[in-house]
Amino acid sequence: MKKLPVIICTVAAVALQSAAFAANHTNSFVTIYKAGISGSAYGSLQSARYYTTDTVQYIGCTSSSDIKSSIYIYCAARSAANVVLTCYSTTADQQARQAVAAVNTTSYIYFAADSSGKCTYITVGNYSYNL
Amino acid sequence: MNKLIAMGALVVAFGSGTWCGYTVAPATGTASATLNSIPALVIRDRSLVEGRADVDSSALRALIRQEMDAALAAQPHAAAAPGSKAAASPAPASPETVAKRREAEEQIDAMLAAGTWGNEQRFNFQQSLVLLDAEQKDRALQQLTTAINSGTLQVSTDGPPL
Repeated sequence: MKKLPVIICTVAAVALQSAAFAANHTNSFVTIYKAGISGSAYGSLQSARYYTTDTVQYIGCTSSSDIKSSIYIYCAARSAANVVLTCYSTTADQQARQAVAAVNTTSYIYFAADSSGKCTYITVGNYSYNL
Repeated sequence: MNKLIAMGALVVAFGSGTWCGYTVAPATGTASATLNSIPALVIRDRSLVEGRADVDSSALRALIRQEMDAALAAQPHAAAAPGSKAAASPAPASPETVAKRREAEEQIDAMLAAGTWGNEQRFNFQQSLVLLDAEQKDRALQQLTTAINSGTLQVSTDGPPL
């Protein structure tokens, strides 16, 4: 008889678990468009990491410096279909570097590469619905 | 006794007042001489009285340029001013550095030509990249990204290629 309240509480907790996390969530799986060597890619980190069934896709950016002078940024994405797109910039301005530095677990990234592999566009959006 | 104190105080007050007046007062002799010469100057140059003086702008510009050149020449680091070509150009690399860079470039070329890009290649590429100068670095990054984007390089790294 004493087990009944425990069972009820457990069932209720499990049932309400999804309600506790209920909020706007939008998946943005890694998507890549290619036109020859150039192309563009987008996706959110959370979708690529936690909301997909494949173990292939990823997206992200790197900011690298030799401390003294030069710096490069590098973005890479791989879709579920194993298509890879990368881009780099050794002449990134402050805004682009700040955008890369702002990438976190709530980030959605979009980047574009020209035919020489250079990044022509980087967008970073940090929103709760990406979580 | 009181008279003595009063007289002493008067002497001190008079003495200090005289001293202050002496130190604070301007050197009236020079100032009055300058002030006296102003009307003469104005009378001599009628343009100062009648309106705006005619200024020889080219002569003024030449004078300013001359003064600026002299001031810049007096500075010890005038040649390495920020933004100048002399400041921007790096020091020439030593033969050892040049050799290391050439070796690093050759290693990158060999890795890219192999057609596969795994964790080992990524690590070696990063190691080589550090040695290169800015222009070589840009070229190496361009070679890598275009090889990946064109599909000639098969990426098998755990995570991103770089």
